[in-house]
Amino acid sequence: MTSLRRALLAPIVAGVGVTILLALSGAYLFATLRLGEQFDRSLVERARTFASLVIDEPPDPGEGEPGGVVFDYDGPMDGEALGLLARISRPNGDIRAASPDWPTELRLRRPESLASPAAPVGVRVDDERWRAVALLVRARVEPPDETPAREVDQDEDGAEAVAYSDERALVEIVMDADPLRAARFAVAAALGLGGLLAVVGTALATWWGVGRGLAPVRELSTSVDRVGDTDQSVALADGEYPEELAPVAQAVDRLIDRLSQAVERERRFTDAAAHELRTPIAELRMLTEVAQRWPEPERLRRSIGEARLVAEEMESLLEALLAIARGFDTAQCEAERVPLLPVVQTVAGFYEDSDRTLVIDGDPRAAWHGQRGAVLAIVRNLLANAVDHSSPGSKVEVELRRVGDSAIFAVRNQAATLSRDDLSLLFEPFWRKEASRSDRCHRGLGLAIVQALCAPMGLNPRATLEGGVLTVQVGPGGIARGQGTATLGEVG
Amino acid sequence: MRVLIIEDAPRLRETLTDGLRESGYAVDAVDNGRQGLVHARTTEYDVIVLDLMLPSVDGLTLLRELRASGDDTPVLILSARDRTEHRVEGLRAGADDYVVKPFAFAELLARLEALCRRSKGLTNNAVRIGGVVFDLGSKLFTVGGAELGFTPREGAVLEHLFLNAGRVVSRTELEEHIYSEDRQVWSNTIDSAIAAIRRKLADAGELVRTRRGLGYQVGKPARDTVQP
Repeated sequence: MTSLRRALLAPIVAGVGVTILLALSGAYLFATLRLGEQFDRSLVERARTFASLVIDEPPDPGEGEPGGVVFDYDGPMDGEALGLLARISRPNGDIRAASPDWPTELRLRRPESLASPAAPVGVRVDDERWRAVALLVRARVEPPDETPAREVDQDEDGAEAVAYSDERALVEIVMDADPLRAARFAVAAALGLGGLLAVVGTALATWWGVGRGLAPVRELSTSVDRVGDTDQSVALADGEYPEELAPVAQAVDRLIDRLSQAVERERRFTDAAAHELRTPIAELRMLTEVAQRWPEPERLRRSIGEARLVAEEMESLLEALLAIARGFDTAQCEAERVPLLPVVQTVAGFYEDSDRTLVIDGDPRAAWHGQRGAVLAIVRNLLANAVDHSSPGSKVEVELRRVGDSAIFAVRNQAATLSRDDLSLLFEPFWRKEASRSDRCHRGLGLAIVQALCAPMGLNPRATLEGGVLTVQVGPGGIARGQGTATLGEVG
Repeated sequence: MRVLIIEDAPRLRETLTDGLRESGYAVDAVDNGRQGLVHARTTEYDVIVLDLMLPSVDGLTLLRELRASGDDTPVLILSARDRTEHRVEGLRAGADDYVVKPFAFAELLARLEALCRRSKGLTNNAVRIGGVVFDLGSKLFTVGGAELGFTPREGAVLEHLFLNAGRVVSRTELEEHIYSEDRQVWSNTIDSAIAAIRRKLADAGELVRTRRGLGYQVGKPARDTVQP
């Protein structure tokens, strides 16, 4: 069985995981770029600092010094002291100063142009271990000096700041990249751990949240379970369900309602059928037991004859019950267009000798689409019902109206004893106005059979009572309803 | 004993009538509630067998009207309505018993006997008066275990006298309880039956006494019951 919680968890966690992964990757890239920039900016600043110490020193004949480019720094230049490695040389390769532990294997690309102190400076990674900066700069001239400066840089205010000579120097700075890598690793670790925790947290939150979200479903399930055979009155929609589940609860309520009505109909039907069978069975028992106790030939002969009649009545009852339960046997014949007027005239012929006046107002075009036998059974039952339950000498009217490609069949008869309350029971199997079961010709099954036969043909039987006249009409669904009307859906 | 059957199912009504008559009951049968009510009010029955779903007046209405008028004739309801609420409703309306269709004829007989027994204050089927024992179930009279050969009419007369032992029973009452309405009753029928009974009970002493101008009486002071 599929778990909704698991089914929801997988895509949510996957979605959140991918999102987090993308976000963290972006964050990592951004962070490492920024770290590299910071690192490199620091490196350039250091390089510029070193470059500012490169001076064009005039020769000092007194001291015997030749002058030229010198690195004006007296401190130790080893990496431990400087925190980096530096080398200052002339463009011709004449190294003027260098850290003793300068990596000789490192080959830095020489800048092609002079780096202005304010201009951006390229930073290169020459191998995985080192990050380096190389500046081609002009040596600064120490003021005051007898030698006039060839060129003077000015600051933003236009004030003279520093004087430079034409002598050029190459300032190279390299720094171990381990701190940068360590920082990048730390960032990656922090983001990865955070991402992992976020994914796990998301999974847990999703699991809990989905479970909490599904709790009303479990409550609904429990409520549905409580709806038993005897207690079908539970209104699930009365419970406090989230708005998404409320329609489900209402739908279940409606379903339960329909099932309850169906069960009640079946119960009444079974009850009525059993009740209807009790009397003939009692007759059979009495006939056989009395004949067995006093087995006189005449009684035996009479009892056997009576038992056979009882059996025939029970068989007839059984067939009527099966007709209601199964409807017309559709396997017997094909559906066809059945004009109603000839059928009505045929059935009406059986009542020519009755003391009721049968009036037929029929549209010859009126027809139903269905099995001819079913149409005949519907018409026969409706006419029989109208004739048998109308007063002697009264009028029974039949009206046939064409409605589209179907028709409305209506039969009217006087029904003085019928009340509007009875209308809802007319199509109920075994319902009779008279509670007595002495009339074996009328078991109260005729209209129930009509109802059963109409359903497969898409027809809808209805009954109305106006001024003591009962009208039973059968037609396609959607016939206008009036007061005192019972429809198929309301009865039984 | 005379029984009124009120049952609208003709075949069941006729077979019941046949079986009960063969069992020694005088039976009247009607097929609707209105006639049943008329019969119950105009004739004294020992038991009424009543269907519930009847034309014109339904069984429960009939029963309530009977009880309201003070009629305490035992009533056995015989109905296809089998639900508990139906039985409760029937018994509360005044029925003494309720049998659901279909039923066994032997059970119906036993229940009718029980109703008669209770209405006469008996605790079992055997009634002993003097040396004569009457068995309500088999409708047989015995003396010292030997069966007395009464005709159905004689047996019915003596049965009614035994069931009303100690009480003077009029000739009219005897006629009402041993004949159904469709039987022709001659003026000397009861007298000749009593004479025949006395002849056959000559050895048992004067069991049936004549109360001049009133009727007949058995037993003194009343009745004695024994286990069969």
